[in-house]
Amino acid sequence: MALLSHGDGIIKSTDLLDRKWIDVNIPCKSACPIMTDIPGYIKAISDGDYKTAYLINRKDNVLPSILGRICHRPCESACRHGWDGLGDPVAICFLKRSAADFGFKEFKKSIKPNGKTVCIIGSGPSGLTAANDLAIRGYKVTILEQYSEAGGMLRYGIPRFRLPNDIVNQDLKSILDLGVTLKTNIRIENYDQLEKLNSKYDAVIMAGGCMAPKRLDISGLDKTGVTWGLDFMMGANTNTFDHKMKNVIVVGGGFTSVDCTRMAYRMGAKNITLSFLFTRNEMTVGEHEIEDMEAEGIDFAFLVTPVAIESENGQVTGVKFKRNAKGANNQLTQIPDSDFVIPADTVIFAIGQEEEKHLVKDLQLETKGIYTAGDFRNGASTVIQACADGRKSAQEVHKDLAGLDGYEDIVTIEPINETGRIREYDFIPLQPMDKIPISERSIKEKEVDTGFSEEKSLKEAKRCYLCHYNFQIDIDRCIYCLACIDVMPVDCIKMAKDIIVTDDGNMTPVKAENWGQVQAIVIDNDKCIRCGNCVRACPVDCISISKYSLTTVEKEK
Amino acid sequence: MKVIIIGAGIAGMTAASTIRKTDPQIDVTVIGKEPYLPYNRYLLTEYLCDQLDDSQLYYLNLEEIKELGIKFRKGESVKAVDPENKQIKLFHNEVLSFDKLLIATGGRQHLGPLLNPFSQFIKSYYTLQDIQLLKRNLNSIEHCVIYGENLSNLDLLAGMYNLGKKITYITRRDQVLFPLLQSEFADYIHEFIQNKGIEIIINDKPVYVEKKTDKYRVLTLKNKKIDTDIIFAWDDRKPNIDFCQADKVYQKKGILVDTHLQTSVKDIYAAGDCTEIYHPVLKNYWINFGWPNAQEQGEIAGKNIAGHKVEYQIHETLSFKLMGKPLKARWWE
Repeated sequence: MALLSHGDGIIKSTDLLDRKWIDVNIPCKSACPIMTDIPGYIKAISDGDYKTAYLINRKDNVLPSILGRICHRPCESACRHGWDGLGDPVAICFLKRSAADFGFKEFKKSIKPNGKTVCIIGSGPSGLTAANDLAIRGYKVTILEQYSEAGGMLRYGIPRFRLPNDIVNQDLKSILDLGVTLKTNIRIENYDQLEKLNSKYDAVIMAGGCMAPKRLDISGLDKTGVTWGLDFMMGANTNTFDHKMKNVIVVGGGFTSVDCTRMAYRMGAKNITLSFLFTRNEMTVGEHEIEDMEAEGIDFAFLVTPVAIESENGQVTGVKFKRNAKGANNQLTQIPDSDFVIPADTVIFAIGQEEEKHLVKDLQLETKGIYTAGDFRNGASTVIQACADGRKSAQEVHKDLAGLDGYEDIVTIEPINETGRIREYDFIPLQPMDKIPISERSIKEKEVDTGFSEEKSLKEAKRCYLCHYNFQIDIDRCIYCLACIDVMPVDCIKMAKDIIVTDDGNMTPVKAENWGQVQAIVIDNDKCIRCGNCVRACPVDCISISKYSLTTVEKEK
Repeated sequence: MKVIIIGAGIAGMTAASTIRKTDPQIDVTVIGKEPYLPYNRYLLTEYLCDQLDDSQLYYLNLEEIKELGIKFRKGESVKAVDPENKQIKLFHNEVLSFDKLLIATGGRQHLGPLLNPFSQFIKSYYTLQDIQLLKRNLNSIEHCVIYGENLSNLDLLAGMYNLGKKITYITRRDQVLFPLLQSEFADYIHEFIQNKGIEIIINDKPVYVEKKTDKYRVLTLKNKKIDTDIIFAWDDRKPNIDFCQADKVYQKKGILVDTHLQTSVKDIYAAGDCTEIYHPVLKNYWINFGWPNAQEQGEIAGKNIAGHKVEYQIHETLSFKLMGKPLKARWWE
């Protein structure tokens, strides 16, 4: 445990209890794979300071404009505002977009070159994050990309109506401007090439993603009209998909399958059906994406298994399905004699991707001194998870090349006077995202979400409970006058007879039943709305507010 | 044994009285969201048109409920089901325990994502409260817009027509069509409605609603503008199961049940419009919306909860006997 106190009252702590406080009390941040300082940037927005909001984002996750549009938002399902009885979660993702829309700023860093070189294969989210982190540390980074434009899945796998091209370019430029070299149309196909690169550079990171589709074993896959999700999406994004479609079936229940249905709608298909083994609840996409699909008139077939592709003269005419029944522990069984056919001229299988096996074969790249990152290392995941893994990979490279002992989390605890929050903010309803009218949805490059206005962003930002502020009562100075309890807006201050601290740092107050038992007055941070009423009411000034933030620093040997 | 029934519609009330009649030892609590005594939903249009009085509307009064020994909590709603601990949580955070649970929350008219942003301007036509509010405002309504292809739309069309209102009916289909299989009426319903002087817009749907002082303007996909006093619209019907987000109680569109109307969790049953069941003839999962089915399922679920073993027979053909009455006599005379 190390506590470094500065003159201005700021404490830098490596105490695990403080680290644990962040995990428990800032649910959005701890749900984010890359630990974005979410309350930090939302507070900046509610202060009207979009530039700071953008820079907080740019520091933590290097693709703010992109992730503000297409992140799968694990933060929002964790958000305290969405807990029982508290309403809807804050629109964290859209606010990230607002920060980029209104506060985009050149990201300047003074970089001292360290003379070492790193080659990164793949310019998707994990490659770009690793490139960013290494470039900032002074490495000369070169990215090799197999296609003609950088971005990987961001560019080719996600449809433009969700993520416009110029947005990808904007975030890409911000990273390349750090002195990163990008070489396109270079494909690394075998281990020999990797080996060569490894001897030329000080380190090589393989971040080639998961570009190979998972295959399914049913009859008729060779027929005209059968295609794979990513192939379809790439073809549509690069205007090279020219199969005429009317009735389309998309098989799958993840992000790509949803994107495929919506892209098919824009490419003129009339009847589009998403078929999925399980039910709506088990789809791995956000509810907002399913709603967008519904708005565009896409049908669902849940609890079905495709068993054969029907065809005539080599052309697909439909897919034969069986209905599934769900048994104990979500086990699926096919219901006997439940076959039915949905007619279709196009079938798109979007049942997942995997890394290109021929590159890995049985080789363990890690044991050969080649680093891996993102989906290539972990299997298909989400953009933000790939970013987080890119960061981890960059840290590994830096640790080895700079001879570090490792990394360490430092919690900065900074006293503040006011939070700026009032109880009324709790009643602001969730701000809905404006979308282009349905009549314009046939244009496949036209972005559907139009973004929050500044006014809406401000309103939405005020909803955030600002969980990174910790309210504490100094028991030694408390005179038990209960003035704080008189002014509390919700049931957030409690009289406790004991506080149980578990080994991993969880603190649970035990409620006192009567006055005689009261040993302490405690603030329940799960309930606290960070309004500061108690601070203002306290006659002996024993309630403090401090802001918790997290940084990772290098640990030298 | 303690049984809780969520929903005081016909399925829930039938189940409650079935349980009490089968085994008077069983303690039955019914929780109903609406602040009324159980009423005949299919008589609401008659009620709107003043063709019956209040007492005919209710099929059970307080004395009868008391006599049956049912604990009836109206005006209260459930916000969570906890199957592991066999508990439910009410909206005001009260927790109740059960030995067996019946979910009979029915369905509701549902707006899709396109119209949902305008829900404050759109009226539904389903509960007694909807009808009471409408009845109060009838004098200020000259013209109404009706959109949707459910039977309740047809019911509403008839009601508003009988009250002498001007009507614009919008449908997504290429002709007026209601799910009236095996009924001759279905074939000439388009003509029939047209002859009544109802304006029909086909192949279109409302996509935008604007409020203009005391009127509304509806914009359709094909850019038609209709000014009106009141808008009734819904895209489809949806089971009311949002409160039941317990992963173990399997759901598709409705709560999935077996032929004994038991859900994927032992001792939790479901009946009526909120259930979905596999239909071997349709080769599909299926929600059998409607009063007669809800009544039948309520009775079967009640018997099974009381310890019998009764199977729900899935009928070989789909017939929409409209709420037990011939369609023509019911609405257009």
